[in-house]
Amino acid sequence: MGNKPFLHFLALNLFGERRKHLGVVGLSVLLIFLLASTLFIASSLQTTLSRALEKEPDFVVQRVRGDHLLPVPESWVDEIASIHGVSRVVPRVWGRYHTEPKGDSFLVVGIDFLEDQSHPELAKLVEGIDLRKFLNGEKMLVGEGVARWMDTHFYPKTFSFLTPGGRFLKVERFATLPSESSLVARNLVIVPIELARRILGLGEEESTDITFNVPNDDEWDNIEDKIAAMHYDLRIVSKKESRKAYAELFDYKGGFFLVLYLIVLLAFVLILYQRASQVYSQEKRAIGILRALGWSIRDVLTLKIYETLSVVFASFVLGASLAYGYVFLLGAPLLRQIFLGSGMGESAPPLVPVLDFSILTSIFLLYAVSFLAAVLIPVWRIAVTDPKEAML
Amino acid sequence: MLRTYYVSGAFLLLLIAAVLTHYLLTDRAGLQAGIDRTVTLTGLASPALGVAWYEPRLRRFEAAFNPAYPELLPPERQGFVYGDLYGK
Repeated sequence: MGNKPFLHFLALNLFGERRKHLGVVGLSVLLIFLLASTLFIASSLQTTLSRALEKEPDFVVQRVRGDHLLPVPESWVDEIASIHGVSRVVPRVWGRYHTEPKGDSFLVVGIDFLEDQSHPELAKLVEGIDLRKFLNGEKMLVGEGVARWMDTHFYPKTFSFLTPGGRFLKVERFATLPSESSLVARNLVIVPIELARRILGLGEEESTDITFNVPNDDEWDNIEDKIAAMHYDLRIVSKKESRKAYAELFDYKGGFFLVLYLIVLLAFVLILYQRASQVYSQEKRAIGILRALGWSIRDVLTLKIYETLSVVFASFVLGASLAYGYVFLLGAPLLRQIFLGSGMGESAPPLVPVLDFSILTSIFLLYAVSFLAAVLIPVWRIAVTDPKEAML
Repeated sequence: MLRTYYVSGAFLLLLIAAVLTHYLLTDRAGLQAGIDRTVTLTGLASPALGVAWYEPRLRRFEAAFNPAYPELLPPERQGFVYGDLYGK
């Protein structure tokens, strides 16, 4: 059956009924496009953030009362550092700064530039930065979203932070963080740690939380228990928990769409099945003629399988390619809001292309198997009847 | 007809090739490196959701999204999960 006349007949059949096929292809492309776009966004964000999470410290220690974060005293740093097996204990200063009580907000992060690791990382992050100039005076690095906000609110060079004590702190805009990092840096304001303390109203010996690493993975649980027993108002969050939270979030959101898709796919297959089972007399007659001409049931089914596979393949490739372009070339306008919120402003952070072949295979199988079944079962029913009956 | 069939097939293969070419030629490591450097510097890996991001956990208020159905949560609300990641 794989010879040229067969292909010729297949092509004639496909293009002869192009109106019917185009309608089905159009609907299928839309379905596959929507599902693939959603899953592409989810897998891209999940992969990017879980890789970024690898760079985060292993543990974060917070001080909590009534589920509210309280400043952590610096003395805790020494207590944690005294535990054997713990490395790189660093106090972290960060917090939200609201431009007005119910207004927009920035994430102010204080960096200790006396630390060895901060200098090279900052130099790599912002190309051509003159660290001496940056550290000389009150200056800040801002994310893309913050820069845009400041431009539109007439703060082209400096911004005055209102401290909890009621004083204004004028800080100069030094540079904007690169757009590649905007997925995590869009709302960031990076300042030296002492300045961050003043903006956020923390004391000299206080920080927002403390981070540390445990190089030996087998010691994680043991050290977590030891630190949790140090103080009654202490909360310790491990990287494993954050990783689990991300996985749950994106699986939840992607899964939500998958359920919706399954419902729509079921409805689509039902319509197809109903249409195919009430096969038009013309098509019924066509199958009858083929049978009368000596085609076996197998030949008729092969023709229909090839015909359906052509439609399925065309729909899948078109739908998946359109979804790829929409997500990774256009940045998934509208749909990205479901994952990243609408606070992103006009431009989207670039999504790192991730092609998860297991997702593509699942979509293809889900779609192709149900489509083939919905078309082939009614055709097989006609093909097994007597050709005379079919042609009536 | 057979020619049109082959041309359509070739067009689809071209689409696949275009997607694969873009995927292989995109500087994925460079994009990831920018994010990684920021996380190494700040120690905060949770996504930045924009300066106008609504945070019920921190702000304790909620504006109605739909005037006809004020209880309806806005579809882009992220606080229910993101809000728990170190309160960022």
